[in-house]
Amino acid sequence: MAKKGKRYFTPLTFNLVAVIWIIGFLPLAVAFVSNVGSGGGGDDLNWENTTKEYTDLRYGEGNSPIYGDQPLCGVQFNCTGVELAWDSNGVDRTPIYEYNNPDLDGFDVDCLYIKNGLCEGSFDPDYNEANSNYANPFYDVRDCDTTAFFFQGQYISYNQEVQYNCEFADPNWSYTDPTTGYTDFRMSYDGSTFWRGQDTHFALDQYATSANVSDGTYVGDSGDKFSFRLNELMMNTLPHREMVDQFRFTIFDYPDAPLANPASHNCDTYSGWEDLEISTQLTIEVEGERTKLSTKYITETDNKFYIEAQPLYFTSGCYIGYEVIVDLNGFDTREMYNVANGGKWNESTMIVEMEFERTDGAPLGSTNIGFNGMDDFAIAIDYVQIDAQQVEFTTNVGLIGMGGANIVLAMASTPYWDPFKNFFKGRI
Amino acid sequence: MMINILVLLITTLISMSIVGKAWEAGAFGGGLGRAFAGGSVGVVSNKFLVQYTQFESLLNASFTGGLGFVGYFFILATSILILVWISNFIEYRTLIV
Repeated sequence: MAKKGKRYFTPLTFNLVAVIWIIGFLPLAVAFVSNVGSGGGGDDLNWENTTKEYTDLRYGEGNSPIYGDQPLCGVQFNCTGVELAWDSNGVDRTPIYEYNNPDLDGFDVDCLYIKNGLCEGSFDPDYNEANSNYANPFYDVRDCDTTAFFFQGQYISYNQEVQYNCEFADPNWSYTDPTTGYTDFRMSYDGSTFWRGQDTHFALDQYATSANVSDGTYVGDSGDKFSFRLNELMMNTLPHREMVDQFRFTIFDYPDAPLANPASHNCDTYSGWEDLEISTQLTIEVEGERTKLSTKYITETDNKFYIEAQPLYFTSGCYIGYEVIVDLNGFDTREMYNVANGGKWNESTMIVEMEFERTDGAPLGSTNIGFNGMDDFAIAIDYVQIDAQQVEFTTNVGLIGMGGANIVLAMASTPYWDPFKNFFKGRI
Repeated sequence: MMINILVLLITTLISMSIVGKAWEAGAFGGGLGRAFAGGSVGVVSNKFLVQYTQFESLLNASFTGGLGFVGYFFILATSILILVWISNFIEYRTLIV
């Protein structure tokens, strides 16, 4: 039995309680509430494929894109943007291209750089669509300048009519090529529909006058930070008035020719396999206002992506690629939902920002990350839905509980109330 | 920025409290030792809260209004706690009186 009058709960004890509360219990409670408000991982997740749903909506379920059918925003000036578009294609390397190609006209390289969804570059006052020297204005990079000029600042849309350079990916996966069998099939793999994407850079000699191009090769790197945007049409495939628990972005470098044997990418001997750390952060944009979600999600992976053989598309083997899974915590899930006016996804766009690091500490440089370069890549986007009421209830109860506990601790920290002393008074 | 300041305040209070109590108990006799210990505890607890827990994310989401009324309530309650501790520390050199 304790001696009468001895103080067991000294100021030192209370300070320990405070420290344990802040760096022990509170973070645990936060983690608990966050995880309960999140669906967690595991193999039994019900992944829905955004890229498939959109392709189904547009072409009919299971149908293939029709050859010649351009994405919704073909050459029209009044379109509202393509479904998946670059928001930032890395570091501006225009000066290097200009240095390597001194005979290029200035506007030939203007659209190589995209920042905040806008193609940076000057407006070419001589250009107009009707008098274009280019056979197909669809491929004319200067459209991009024109619209960027007219709609400067409205980076949600309007600047992405031109598919090259500004484009990130579109549902028209393939084009008919009877010699290779590369034809109009939707590219499906492992339950997901993949879209074809344009790499960060574009070969100069494919749109500039060839006489002007002395060096059309890729400069070798595009930086280590990129972002792309899902527009309202894409976001509309998310469940209306429901929350999203996870996103999965599957990206791989599509070989130059279908069915090409990726011999240079031997699973064991290819020297380009690297371990990567990919930080992904999501931003929701509604009516021009961007809200960046609070958490950066880290994916540790390598750039080796094994694919089983697919008729017309792939021989089996290792390709450059990876999966990035963004398992939103409960707070981000809820914040995303609230920012989108309660899950009105068709009124919002989402910007996906990815930053790459090599885990060996070496600079990223020319490390292949699937979409750097000037060819094609494949992308599929999947998501997992979670019940909005469950998340709201859990986070509400958790936050009220933690907030209430903070207030109680604050009161107990004053000289005016000592709950421990009163509680134990007369008992010990 | 506000969130960083809030987390910094919390971890500073923690380190001051721990080192202060240790000093009262006879440890860290010199000012340099106390400063080093306080800095170390502050940095470690800051790293812990920011990098290994989702505490900062919660404060951010609450502050931006993404969690609605309960988020503001949590920020308010946490702020009250910090203010009381700061007040206690100034007046009594301890967090909890």
